[in-house]
Amino acid sequence: MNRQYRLTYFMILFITALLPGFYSCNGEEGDDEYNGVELTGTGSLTLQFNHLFGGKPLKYAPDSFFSAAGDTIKITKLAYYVSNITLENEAGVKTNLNTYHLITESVSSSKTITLSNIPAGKYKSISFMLGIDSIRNHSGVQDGDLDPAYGMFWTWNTGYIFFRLIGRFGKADKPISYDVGGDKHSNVFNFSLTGNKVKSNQVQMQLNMDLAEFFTGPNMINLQQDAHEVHSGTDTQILPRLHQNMKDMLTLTNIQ
Amino acid sequence: MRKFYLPFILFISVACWLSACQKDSEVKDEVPPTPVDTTKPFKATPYPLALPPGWPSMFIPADNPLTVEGVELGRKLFYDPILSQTNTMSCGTCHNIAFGFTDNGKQFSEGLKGEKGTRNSMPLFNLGWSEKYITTNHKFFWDGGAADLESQVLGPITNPIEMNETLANVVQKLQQHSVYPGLFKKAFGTDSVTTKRLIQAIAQFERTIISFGSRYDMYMVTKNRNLLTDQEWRGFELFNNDVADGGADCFHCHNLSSPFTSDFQFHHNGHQSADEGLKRITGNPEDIGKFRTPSLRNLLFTAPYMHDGRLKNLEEVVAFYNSGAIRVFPADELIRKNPAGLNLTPQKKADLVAFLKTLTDSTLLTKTHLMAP
Ligand code: HEC
Ligand code: HEC
Repeated sequence: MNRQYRLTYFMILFITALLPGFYSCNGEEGDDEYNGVELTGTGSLTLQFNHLFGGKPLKYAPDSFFSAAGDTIKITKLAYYVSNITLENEAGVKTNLNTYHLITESVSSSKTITLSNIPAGKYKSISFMLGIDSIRNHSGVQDGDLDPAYGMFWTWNTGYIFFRLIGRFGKADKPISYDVGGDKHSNVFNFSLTGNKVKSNQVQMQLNMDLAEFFTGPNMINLQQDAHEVHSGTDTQILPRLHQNMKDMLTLTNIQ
Repeated sequence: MRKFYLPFILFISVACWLSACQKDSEVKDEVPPTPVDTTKPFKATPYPLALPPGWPSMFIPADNPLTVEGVELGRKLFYDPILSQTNTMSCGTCHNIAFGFTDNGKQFSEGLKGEKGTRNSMPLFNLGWSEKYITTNHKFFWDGGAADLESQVLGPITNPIEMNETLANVVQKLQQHSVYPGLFKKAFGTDSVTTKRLIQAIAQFERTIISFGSRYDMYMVTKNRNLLTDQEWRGFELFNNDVADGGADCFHCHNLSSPFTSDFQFHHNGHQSADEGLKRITGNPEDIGKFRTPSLRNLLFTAPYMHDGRLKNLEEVVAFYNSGAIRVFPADELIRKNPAGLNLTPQKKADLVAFLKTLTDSTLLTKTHLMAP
């Protein structure tokens, strides 16, 4: 074999070997790619929750925000449970990851939920509950994020507080204190993943929770006349309205 | 030469290809592998629970079996004022064994800050059967607000008008205590104090408070009628018969065919108060003024009576049920169906009271394994 022959041979081999590599790495536009989220290998899924008020990043008091009804609102505490994160694959099979997470504005690490050992697969939707399912809500006291020591628990009427928003409003800085709970008041959010071509073994999703929706939603809350607090899952005055408003609070903004 | 180039070139190209595909994930944090638990499963000594003869099994949750070490820890905690903010009040303060585990004859208990509640302290016994036979989540408290015995414990500890303490503080106080971490280790395998273990231990102890041994219990076991006097038997007949048959119609709710003298349902028995009862828990307007049918065991020790302790003695209770005035809406249908009341003569009233007293189990008050350690 002469030298020139060897070089040509080398080049051909090299290019041929690289071709499939280029092809597959640019393959995000390729037709054979799954038009949704594909987790390769046993991967991880990260949900990052960002808290906003009217599109602006939420900051605790003394910062203030304006509700649609014109109230000046300061927030001093935001905490809520996310549970039953469920992935639905291409074939419509749903996998409930069966985890429970307490998210608190003041604890930044709590705002990122990382789930590992997610089975590989092509997923077309994700859903989760803002709150706790009725089975877990009534199966005695739990550990971890469900430890009642976090104060997200009603002892006089056993059950978890799903969502807590505490703050002040108006010139006189009157208190607002909303505890949302009771089996009827969890909300399930379902987000389609089709149209987002992502293929990775570490998928990251960004979710925005906009608290302005809590006061706007379909039911405008006017703090000059509406209840400033709720502490019972059986309230019929304001709780059903807030519960409905909460359905508009979360949006999935980005998948990587 | 050819033999050398081929694998080499392939290796290089595959490596480039892989690294190109991975560049996206490189910047992200590695998720640490979950540590493998290599410790042997922990086992404490099973508690030898002695059930009274002929009684059904009680409810014990699968994740909180009774163990000797758990019950002992629970007993210590039950009587330890460390659970309260000022370390001055224990569960035993309001649940005194000498009063059938109620609060010393008081109508309302006083909390740490001297404030009074609005409900009469409840007797504690045979709780594992309430949990078994109440089919809804409304198992404990007069209004059924606690769904299980474990989570019930959280109520008095954190209630500002009771022990007024935070769970985080209690857990911290116990963790830093000289003795408790060792006891938690014996009961649960490690010395870590958690909310869950705290309430599990107390619930374990509470499940061992079994009341059995009244004269009526003895009759149920032996069927020896001589255990009750003639007057007591007359009271029994009144208790167990409809008004139409000359009775006082108590048995529909306080069911005597089981040792628990309760149908484990919620009723409005005609006792009026501002307390919404079960409605506060369910939000259902039909549940207004409904309370769980209480056991009638140990009444001799547990006065005063009803959720608000408004009736001072058993004579007042019988006079109350005798009246027609209570038999109006929203009282239960079983009460309203006798609008004229019971028309009991003084003799019959005395007979009924005499029967109620046969449900007294004095042996409960002297059980040393239920007293402060
Ligand atoms: C300040 C007095 C007080 C203290 C201290 C107290 N309790 Fe009670 N307990 C009560 C009263 C009053 C009720 C009835 C409350 C109601 O129905 O709202 C009650 C009800 C209960 C019940 C419900 C019984 C049933 O049959 O439904 C249980 C169980 C109980 N207490 C256990 C405890 C335990 C365990 C502790 C200690 C952690 C404790 N209590 C501390 C006053 C007290
Ligand atoms: C409709 C069902 C019902 C009937 C019938 C009924 N009770 Fe009751 N009983 C209850 C309920 C419910 C309570 C608790 C009510 C409350 O606290 O407000 C209660 C409470 C009591 C108490 C107080 C117990 C305590 O620990 O405070 C006594 C004693 C009692 N009943 C005896 C009787 C007798 C005797 C009769 C028959 C004359 C009777 N009951 C008929 C449902 C009933």
